[in-house]
Amino acid sequence: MASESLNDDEIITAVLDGRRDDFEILINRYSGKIIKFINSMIADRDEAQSIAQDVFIKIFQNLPYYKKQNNFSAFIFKIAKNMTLNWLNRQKRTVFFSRLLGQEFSQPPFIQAPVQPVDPEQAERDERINQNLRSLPEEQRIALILKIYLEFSYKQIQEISGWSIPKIETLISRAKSRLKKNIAMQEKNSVFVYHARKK
Amino acid sequence: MNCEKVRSRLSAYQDGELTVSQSRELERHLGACAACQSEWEGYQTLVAGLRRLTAPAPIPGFSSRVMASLRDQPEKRYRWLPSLAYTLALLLIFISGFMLEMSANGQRQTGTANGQAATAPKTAMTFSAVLAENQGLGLLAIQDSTLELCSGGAHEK
Repeated sequence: MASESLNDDEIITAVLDGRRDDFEILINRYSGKIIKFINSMIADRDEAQSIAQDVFIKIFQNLPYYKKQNNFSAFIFKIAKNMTLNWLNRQKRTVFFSRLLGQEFSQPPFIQAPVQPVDPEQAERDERINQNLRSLPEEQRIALILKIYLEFSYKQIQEISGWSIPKIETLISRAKSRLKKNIAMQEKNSVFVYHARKK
Repeated sequence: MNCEKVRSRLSAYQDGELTVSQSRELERHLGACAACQSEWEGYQTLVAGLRRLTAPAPIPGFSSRVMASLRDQPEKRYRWLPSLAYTLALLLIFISGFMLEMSANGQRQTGTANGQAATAPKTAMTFSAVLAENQGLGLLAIQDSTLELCSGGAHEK
C-alpha cells in the first residue's frame, strides 16, 4: 500500500481528513514498541495488550491536538506512560483496599511474563533482573525502560516525560546502580544457599 | 577526571550521551584504572541482561481489534457538553447556597437592628420556606410552579 511509505505527519493529516482506516498504519508502526513499554512496566502480557488497545484509542481521539512536526513518537509515549501509571495506581488502590477489608488480593500486582524456555540458570538470572526492575521506583523504571528497551535519547525522554536532562541522567544512573547492587547481592546469597545445601 | 567523577558519568557514557571530548577523557581513565574498569564491566553485564529480556509481540489481529473498537465509537463532536453541564450545575448549586446564606444573615441582622427579641437561631428551615423567603428577595429565579409543588399547591401568589 502506498500509504505505508508516508511519514507519521502525512498519515495523521490523512486520518484527520477522513481516511480513518489509515490509522491502522500507525498502529502497525508503533504497537510493538508500545506493548514492549507497557509490558516492561506492568509485566502482565494480557493486561499490557488491553492497555495498549486503550492507548491507541486515546491517541486517535487526541489526534486533533497533536501539533505536527512535533515528534509523534513522544506524543504517543506520553499517552502510553500516563495510562500505564494510571493503571498502576488503580492496581495499588485495589490492593490497598483489599487489604484494608481484610481480603487477600487474589492477583499479585505484578504478574510474571511467561519466560521463554532457556537453560535454568539463565532463566533464574532473567527472573532476578525482572523482579529487580519491577521493584525500582516508578520514575527510575520509566527512564530506564525508555532508554534501554526503546533506545530513546535523553532528549526524546525529556519530550515524553517532561523531566530535565540532568534529572533523566540521574534517574537512569541510579536505576542502573541499584539494579547492579541488588542483583550482585542476590547472586551472592544464592551462591551461599547453594553451597550451604551442598554441605 | 577522578574515579568519583568517572563513575558518576559511566551510565551517561554507556547511553551515548557524553560529548566526544568527555568520552575520550573517560576512556583514558578507564584504560588506566582497574577499579573503574571493573565498575564499567558491571554496567555492561547489567545492560546486556536487561536487553536479553524479551517482550511479547503484539497478538495477531491487534491492529484490527483496535480499528474495530474505533469504528464502534460514534464521532464525538460535542464531547465537552456533559462536562460543561456538570460544571454549570455545580456552580449554580454553589452560588445558590452562598446567596441563601447571605440572605439568612441579612435577615437576622435586620431583625436585631429593629429591636426584635433575639430568638433562637433557625435550625430547621423547610425547603419550601427557604424558597419562599428567597423568592421575596428576588435572589433566586424560582418559578411559582416550583413553590406550589413544594407547598402542596397551598402557596398563593
